[in-house]
Amino acid sequence: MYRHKTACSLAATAFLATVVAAVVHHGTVNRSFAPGKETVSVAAPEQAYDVWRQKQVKGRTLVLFDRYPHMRGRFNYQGEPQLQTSNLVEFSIFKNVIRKIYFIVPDDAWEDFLHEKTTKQVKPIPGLTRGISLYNLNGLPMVATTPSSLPHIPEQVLVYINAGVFDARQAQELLTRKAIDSDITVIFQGNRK
Amino acid sequence: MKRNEIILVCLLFLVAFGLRFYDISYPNFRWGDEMAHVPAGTNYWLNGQFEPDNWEHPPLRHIIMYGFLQLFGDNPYGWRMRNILFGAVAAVLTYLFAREVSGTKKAALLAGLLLATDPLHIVMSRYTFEEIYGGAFFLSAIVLYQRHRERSSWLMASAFFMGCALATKWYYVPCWLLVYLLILRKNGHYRSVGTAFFITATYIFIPLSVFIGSYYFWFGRGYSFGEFLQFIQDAYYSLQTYRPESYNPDMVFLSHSSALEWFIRSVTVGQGTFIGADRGEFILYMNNLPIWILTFPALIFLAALALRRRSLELALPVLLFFGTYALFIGVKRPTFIYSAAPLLPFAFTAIACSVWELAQKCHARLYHLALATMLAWNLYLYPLATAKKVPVAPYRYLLDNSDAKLFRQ
Repeated sequence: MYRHKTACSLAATAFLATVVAAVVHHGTVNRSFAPGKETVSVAAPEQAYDVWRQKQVKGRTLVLFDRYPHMRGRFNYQGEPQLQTSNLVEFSIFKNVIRKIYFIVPDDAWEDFLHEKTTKQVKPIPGLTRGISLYNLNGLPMVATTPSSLPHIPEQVLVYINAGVFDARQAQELLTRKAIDSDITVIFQGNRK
Repeated sequence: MKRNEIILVCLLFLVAFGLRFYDISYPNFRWGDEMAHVPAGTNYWLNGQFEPDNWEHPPLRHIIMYGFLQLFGDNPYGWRMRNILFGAVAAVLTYLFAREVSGTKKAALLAGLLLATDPLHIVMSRYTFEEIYGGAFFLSAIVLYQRHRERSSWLMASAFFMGCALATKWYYVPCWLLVYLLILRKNGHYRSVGTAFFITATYIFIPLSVFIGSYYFWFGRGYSFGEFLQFIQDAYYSLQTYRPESYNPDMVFLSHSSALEWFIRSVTVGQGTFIGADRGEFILYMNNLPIWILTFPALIFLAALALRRRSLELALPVLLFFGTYALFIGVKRPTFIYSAAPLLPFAFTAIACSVWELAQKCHARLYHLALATMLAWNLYLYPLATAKKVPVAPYRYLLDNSDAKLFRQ
């Protein structure tokens, strides 16, 4: 016959509640937002990281208007990544500036995108007409979707627009239409290959 | 446990530890998966990042890795002591498990020694494979469950170790739920609401707490609980998408990707170098077929015995073996030989119990003969698992029929 059943049951339940509360709190306190709102133009992608670092943002969702993959991950690990033109997103993930990405694909390029070799789909996103969860080596939650399917995001986001791929004004109008609020919008003026 | 048995258990630990620890600093560079596992330990502790390791597997391994790096330093001891210790403990736990199943010291000793000297378990204990310490956690949970005799604290300890196993790999989910159901079923506990809630709170909530808690550093990247649930779903779906072509083509395990062959066909992978005309140095992952092939007959024998004696204790190795093995058979992704390690304690317990029962019926010396033959065979293979420089001739037939990547110096 088990002894102290009630006390042990309560202890086990309290343990679970405490663990959940602790991890949720740990997540919440590690999300930082910029005090105001601003739009910054940069001449090179890696300068976006300097903008984010100066504003001390971290643990954030990024809405990415750019090409995929933008982050390849590294099969041959040689220590921490160093910031370069081609690895802004990967570097920002490693530095915990970004925790989640909405990657925007133009509606007319969606079907082609799905068939690209680099597109590795984990699963479709329920509720999105065009939306899939993308595999990446880091395991970062990464949703690929189109402007028409982009859902409302209930928190302030970071926005990065490659003006060589997306029209910056149209991208910002889209965010306004979806009631997506941003504290820092970075526009890269150039067509990065 | 009497004094003599405690000494026996200590000796078993020392044998298992010695075989795993000997010459552990060779190679003195990070080898195989160590190149991913070691930096991932530090990255996870400091940044909540999984890379360069897989993100789909739960992260308790990174926390333990970091702990051992702090204890022993960033050197071969820091990288490998975790597996050496847990590998040796697994031999003792196999003894304790088999002791409870069979009720005899001799069957338990045979099971413990088989694990202590098994070439696959040894080679995996000398690097950073999760199956070694995950398997030891799982076995700890099972042994505590077997011996808890309705003591609440023992059941809670069992649940805690089950949580550690779940926070290492997902392999253990089916048997976790199986054990939970067995506890509920025993003495009709499910009929009493209070007892059923106690068992549920203990055996479901505590493992879940450990599992969720292991993601603490990941949450530190800013994640919410909803995102955690989404992440776990993504990990599950992502694991299903793995195919042989998803792996690095140089991976030594790729030539055998089905769990169906583990206990019926010879599987020998790994790598080695021929040195000069007649010597070589090898690190082989092999299923040691002459012993492993006894697994299915022994499990069938034990199942029949359990049915005849109406004994759940005797059926436990069979249930736990198939509870885990069914997962490896059922998943769509490739399953490599190293995943067999958590099955070995149950396989060897079944073999040991069968040998013991047969020896009782036929001739007492059969036990000693089996013990001596099996140990001699395992020790003969020992150099092939541990990169010892050996003459090639005695192992020629094995090397010729292996899928190992063999080079000439």
